[in-house]
Order: sequence, then C-alpha cells, then structure tokens
Amino acid sequence: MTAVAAPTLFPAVPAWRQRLGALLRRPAFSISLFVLLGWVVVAVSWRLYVPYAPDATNAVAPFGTPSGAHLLGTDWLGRDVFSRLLAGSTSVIILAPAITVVALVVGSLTGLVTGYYGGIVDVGVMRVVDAVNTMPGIVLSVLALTVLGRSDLVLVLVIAGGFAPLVARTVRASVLAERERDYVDAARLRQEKGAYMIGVEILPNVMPTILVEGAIRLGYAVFAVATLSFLGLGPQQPSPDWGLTVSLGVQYVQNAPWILLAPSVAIASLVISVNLVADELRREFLH
Amino acid sequence: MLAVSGLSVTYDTRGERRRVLEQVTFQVGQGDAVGIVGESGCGKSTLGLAIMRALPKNGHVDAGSVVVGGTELYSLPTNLLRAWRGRALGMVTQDPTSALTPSLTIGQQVAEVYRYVNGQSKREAMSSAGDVLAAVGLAPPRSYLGRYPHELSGGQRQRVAIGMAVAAKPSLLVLDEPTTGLDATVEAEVIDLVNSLRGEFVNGLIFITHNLGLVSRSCNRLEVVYAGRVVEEGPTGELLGGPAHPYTAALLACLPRPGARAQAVRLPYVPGSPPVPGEVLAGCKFAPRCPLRGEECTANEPLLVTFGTGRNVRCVHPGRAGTALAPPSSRQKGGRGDVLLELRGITKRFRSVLACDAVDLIVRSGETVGLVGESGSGKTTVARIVAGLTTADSGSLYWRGELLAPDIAKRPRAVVRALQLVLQHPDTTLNPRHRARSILARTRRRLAGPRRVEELAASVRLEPHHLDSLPGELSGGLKQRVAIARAFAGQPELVVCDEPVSSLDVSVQAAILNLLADLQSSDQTAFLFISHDLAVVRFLSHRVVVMYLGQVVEVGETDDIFAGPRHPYTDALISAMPSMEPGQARAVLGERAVTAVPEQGCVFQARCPHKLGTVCEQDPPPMRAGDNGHTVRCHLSLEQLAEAQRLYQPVSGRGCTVPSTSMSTRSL
Repeated sequence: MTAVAAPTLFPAVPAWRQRLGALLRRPAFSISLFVLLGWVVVAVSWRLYVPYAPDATNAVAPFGTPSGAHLLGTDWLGRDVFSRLLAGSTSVIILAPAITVVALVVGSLTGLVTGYYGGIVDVGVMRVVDAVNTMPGIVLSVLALTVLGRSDLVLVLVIAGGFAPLVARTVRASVLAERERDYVDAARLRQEKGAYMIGVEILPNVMPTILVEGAIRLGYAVFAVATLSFLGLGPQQPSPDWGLTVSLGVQYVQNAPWILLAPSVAIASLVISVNLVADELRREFLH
Repeated sequence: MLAVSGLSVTYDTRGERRRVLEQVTFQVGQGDAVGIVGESGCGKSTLGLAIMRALPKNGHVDAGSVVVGGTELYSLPTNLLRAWRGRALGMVTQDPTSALTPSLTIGQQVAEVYRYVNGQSKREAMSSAGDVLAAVGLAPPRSYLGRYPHELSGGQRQRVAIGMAVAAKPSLLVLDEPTTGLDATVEAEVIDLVNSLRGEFVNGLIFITHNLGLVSRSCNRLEVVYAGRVVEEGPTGELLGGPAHPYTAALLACLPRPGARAQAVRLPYVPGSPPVPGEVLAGCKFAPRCPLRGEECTANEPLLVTFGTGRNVRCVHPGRAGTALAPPSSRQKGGRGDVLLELRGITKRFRSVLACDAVDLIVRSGETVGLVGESGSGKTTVARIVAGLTTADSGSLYWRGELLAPDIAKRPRAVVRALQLVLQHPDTTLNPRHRARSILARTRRRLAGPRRVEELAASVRLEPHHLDSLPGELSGGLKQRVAIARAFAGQPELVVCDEPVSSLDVSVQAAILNLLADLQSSDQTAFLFISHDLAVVRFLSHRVVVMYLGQVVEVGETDDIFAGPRHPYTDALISAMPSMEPGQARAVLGERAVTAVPEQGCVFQARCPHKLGTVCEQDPPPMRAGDNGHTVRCHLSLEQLAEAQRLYQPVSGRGCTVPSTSMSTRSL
C-alpha cells in the first residue's frame, strides 16, 4: 500500500495574511489606516504641492477668512493656514514614531529579560517600573525638558522614557505566559543559553504583543508630542507644528477660529485613527 | 423520542462554506443510550450541538430536522425555544470548569435551572438543588450548595454539571466527552452515575466520545461517525463484536489488547487522518485510508445499507471489515541490560504539596518502565526531575552509577544527549514560530546527532514535506512525531515520555506506540513511560511503577502486577480500566478528597477498601517483597492482598458485581 497523501490541514495562505484581509474588510480599520497613511504621505511630500511657503508672511492679509485663494484662511501674520497645516505634520509624524521605537526597544528588552530570568532582577526592575508608572508622565516630561533644555532628542527620550515601563510590563506578562510552555522546556533539554531562549524561542511568540503595544503607544506619542509643543516645550516659532499653532491660535479664537481649528482637527484625526488601528490590531491578534 | 433525519450542517469560516455533517439520520428510543463515536474532526461535537440547537453563530443547518418528543426543534420560534429546551434537553460538555461560573456558588447555579425552567421560588429552587446534588452523589448536599466551583475537584464539578443538566428532568441528555481529562477511577464513577440516572431523571441518552471502552459499558446502540456521515450503526455488542465497516474495525484494532505486548507485536493502525471538512472526495470518504479500497469505492459514495437486524453500514464491501487489517506483525524481542538510571530517595515539595516522597526507581538499558497513577500522584514531577528541568529538594540521581547533576544546565553534554524527555502537550511542545526542519536541525546541532534531519524524520515516519510545515499546520499526531524525533536526535539511551499519547485519537496513539516500540527494538533505547492509561502501559512496559500522592506504592514486572497480588490502589486502577469485554468497570474508590497527604500512616488510607484500622492511620506501611523484585507498600501481607482481590473479583468477566462496601477486611 502506498502512503496516503497527507491532507492539508490548513489552507496554504499564512494565518497573518488571512487576518490582515479580515482586518481590511472592517471599515473602522481601513478608514483609519487610510487617514494615518495619508498624514504620513503628507509629512513626507508636502513640499511638492504646498500652495504657499508655510513661512511666507503677508502683512496686508492677516486673519484672512477661508477662501478660494486660502482654503483655510490666513493667520495673524497672513501665513496660509492650509500650507502650515500640511507642513506642521512633519514634526509629529517624525517624533511620534521615534518615541514609539525607542520605547518599544527599551521596554521590550526589559520585559523579555526580567520576564525570562525572573528572580531578584525581575523584582527590582519591576519595582522601578511601578514607581515610574505612578508619576504623571506629563509632569515628568515638563520637568526634564525644563532642566535639560528642550531639543527634539531630549523630547523623544523623555516621552519614550515614560512609555518604556508600560511596554516592559505588558511584554513581561506575555513572556511569563510563554515561559511556561513546553517548547521552552524542550529548548532547555538541549542546553540552550539565555540569549537564544529569549531571542529565538520567546521573542517571535511575543512579537504580536509588542507590535500591538507599539500601535497603542504610537497614539499616546502623538498626543504627548502635541501636548508638550502646546505647552511650548516642543518646536519653537516660527515652526508650523500643530501643537504650537494651537497654543498660539488661542488668543485669536474669537475672530479667527480657523487658525486653531485646523491643527486641532488634524491632531484629533491622527490620534483617533492611530487608536482605532491599534484597537483593531489588538482585537485581531491578541484575542 | 429523538429523531434526527437528513441533518446537514455547514460552517462558514472566513467566507468559505464547509460541510461538517451530511445527511445524518438516527433515532433515540425511550430508554435508549446511543453512543456517537469517531475520531476528532469527524463532526461528533457538531452533531451534539445541532441536536441542542446550540450551533455557533457561523453554523447553519442546511437540511433535515431534529424532532424531540414530537416537536421539531428548528421550527420553534426563538422566544419559546429557551423554556422548551430547558425541559426537553440537557447537555454536559467536556470541560466542567468552563461550564460553571466561578463567581456563583454551586447552589445558585443549580437552583437557577429550577427557577427559570420550573418557575420555582428562590427557596424552593434551592431545596430542589440540594435534592439533585444528592442524586448525583454529592452528599450531604448542604455542604456543597454554598461552595464555589474552584473548591471542588474535577470529578465533583462534572457531577454538578450533570446535576444541572438533569435538574429539569429532560427527556434527552447529551453528553459530549464528559470524562475526557478525568482520571480513570473518577471516570468509572461518573459513568456509573450517568447510568444510574437513566430512567429516573432522563429517558434517553446520547454519549459522544472517542473512547470505545466507555460506550461499550454504557450504550446499547452505537453510531459510528466519519467525515460527518454515519458509516455504521447498530446494537453495541454486535457492532463491537463484529464490525461491518473497515473504519469501526480499525478503531477497535488500534486499542491495545490485554494479551498484546509491544515487545512482541505491533498494533495495527489506520494511516492518515480524517478529511478536513469541506474537502471534496469522490466516492467513499474513508477510501483513502481504507485497506480494502478498490476502484468501486471511489466511483460513488456508498449508501447506508442494512446489514443484519438493526444494523446499517455505509460500505461497498459490508462485512468484509474483519479481514481488512493485516494481523499484528511480530517484532524481535530485545534484551534488558545494566542499570542506566537510578533515583534514590527523591523528594520534592511544592509549597504544602509533597509531590515526591522518597521515590526510588531504577531503569535498565533497553527496558520500558511504566509509571502510573492518577493526576496529582507526582508522575510528571518525577519525569521533570529525571530530565533536570526541576531540581529535587533531597535525594540523588545516578546515571550509569555516577552521580548526576540535578540541573540540566550543569550536566555534561554526553549525558544530556543520552537522557531525553518527550513532553506532554503536543500543542505547545513545538515552538509555533519554528518549522519542523529548523527544530530538528537545531537539536541535532546542539546534541551532535549522527543522523541527518531527513533520516530523523524518516525514522518517525514523517513525510519530507512535513519538515517545512509550521507546527500549526500539523495535526496532533504529527506534532508528537516531531517531538519524538527531537528527543531521538542525539541517539539517546533513555527517553522519558510524559503522557505522549494521552491527548491523541486511538488511531494516532497506536501509530505512536508502534513507533516507540520500533525505536526501542532498533536502538535499544530505554523508556520511562508515564501514563494514566493502564492499557497502554501494559502494552508497552516491561515493568510498572505505581505512584500515589508522591509515593511509590508498588513496583513489579508488568505481568506480576496484572496477575496480582497487588496494592489495593493498583487494584482500583486496574478495575477502573475501560474494557471491550462485557461487564462493567467498577468504581471501587471514593473520590480523592481535595485535602493533602495524610499526616501519618499509609497515604492511601482514606480511600482504601481494605483498610485494617488504626495501624493504617498511624504506621507507615512496610515494603512487602514478592518474586521478581515485586514490592508492595502495604500493611496487608501479599497473601492477604491476594485473598482480598479474589473476594473482590466477580465470578465471570471483570467487575460485573459492585462489591458491597460494607465488606469487612478485618476478617482477612
């Protein structure tokens, strides 16, 4: 008797691709992803189609109402609000992912190492993490930026420093669950060392957790960058940065609300779309 | 009473429609107990859910009807369904833990049935709940009503679940694998309970299981299901005595028989696995795996035809099934050699639980030692200590007479290579992100294995294309083969196997057992084989070690242990073995209390049917030595034990009579 052809238990399409397909069929995900990617494209390419130079002042037409020439009107210096809106995306679109990446790398490494080894290191590190988590992130950031002086690098490190403990705790929980699985024991049975265990055995299995955590952190990062620049601790004048523009536009809100509204709506659209994408990713990959 | 006719069910998975049940027709008469058997993935559970009208959202009934007591289930309006179903149908599922709400007391949950179905007041419902708990053997009920599910053992939880299912005295009770995951001793009790409820609480029973031993004890009719179709049906005795369908015959042949020994014979088994739902196969769905298949089999799907009185079979060659499987082939007997591994006084405590209490154990080269006991007896802890994954609190391990480091990280590579472990759960034993090939290649490199990955795969009968699969794409049996190949990568001298087949279907189990025995005869590998399944242990082992609550209570050659005299606990385990033979397994033991090991005296005193009295409560029992190194830890002498077993043994077959519990052993 010849060997029976083994039935393919599962279709050849990898699971993650099926899941991505299912995600894209959900409007909340696909629309949010479209908005998010739209802002990324704008941040990279606004120079190609921006109607006016964002810094070009026009002394004769301050506070211009939205019109055909100025789609979203002009600000107190007569600068085109629409052009500044497009240009203002750059800082947040660069800073927020940078923060997220730093927080993910630091937090994941901490979570992987403490979760895998456990013991005294785990207890010590996790107490520090808990302590950091109890302090309001925004106060810490303001403090650090004031003491260290503001720069993009400090901004990224300060916010990422606040996020990393949160990432570490989530990743650690996931590592603790994986560590109990038989495949980890199987690797011990061939005397694998810690670095291999963490990097090759466990990391691939906690990757979904890390990626979803990243998406969630990205939403908070956008918000944190906007908040700090609103407080004047981000990019300085004459940058078209959204948070800065909102804070400066407050005083003109009675007569020229468009100055403040345009970047506010932009921030909201970005935060909401990032959060929705993160939510859907979490629902699909972690539950 | 229940008539299922032409029932076809489809699942919608990610836009694809997969047919899981095809034109299923059968009846359950008044007082009937019908067993539905088949391998996993054949649609048994779906059938159970369809009978309850409780299919998951993506399941649709395409055709057919389910009539219970004259009412067509699927034409009932949904607002009437719940109340009607509560009175007509009851269901017990596999996992009693998830069937009960952790945040409500047992009493509240059982009383709910009476309040919603029978409309009783809170007080009435609670007293009815007490009555039903007493009926399912949880006495006194008062002490159970106020408890939460986590305070009960698995067997007790399943009793509660059964109590809830029969509370409204439904006409039909559906049991879906109600004893999977329970120990054999507890399983026997639950089955006795279900049998005792027939008549008083329920009129008909549907018993869904993959365990043919169970249905033979509790069902009068069987429906054998394969690929969503009934392939054979008939009275239990006739059907098991002379199966007419090759599939039924194969399922039966896979079970290790009492006389068969792995050292001498190979179990017959069916290659392959059931078709995936939705897979299009011309003709008979079993043909690809059938040893009898011919061209006529793949032309048209065979119809269910009458075969004797009350029997139907869906086969082109009805009745030729008996000749289908080749007779078991024989195997060369290997010899047993020097002592490989020795455990001396191994003790391990997890907080308050004494998992191993001064365990002594010897494994010789080329030998299989079966380690048996209920869950919680410390079997797995012994395996992990031997493998170096857990370190003992005290005691020592010796490898070929030399002291062995307790932690695997400190053992010399040569010993690591020679002493390997096959872990318990096929679903987590392979890293889900690593392909079979890379798993084997890495192990081979680490353990300096002599054989190439392809040779390793071939030695466990894996096809080359399986090597490029991720574990998620492999079935349980295939995953376990990869795990076994991994353990054999460094040409080990001793492999510890921790329940390697307990989660697999019987057909797959037979293939894995053959594989282990083949590897033993070709490589002279010794096994420490841990299992709660005595039939498997008897088939595979030269010697058996029995553990209870962390203590070794008996050691001996397999034949000596099965012949007796033996420890009362071993006797209980053997009595509870499901068997194809007529008669019933006996549940001789009271269920083990959740409380821990007794402070002093014999560990088995609380459940022992032959307890002598205070001596068992106060003094540790002596080790009684018999022939061939047979030792029993008991206050009764071997002669007394033999006498006790003879008195307990029924006249014909095994366990036809339930012994009177009042039998006094003091007179022995």
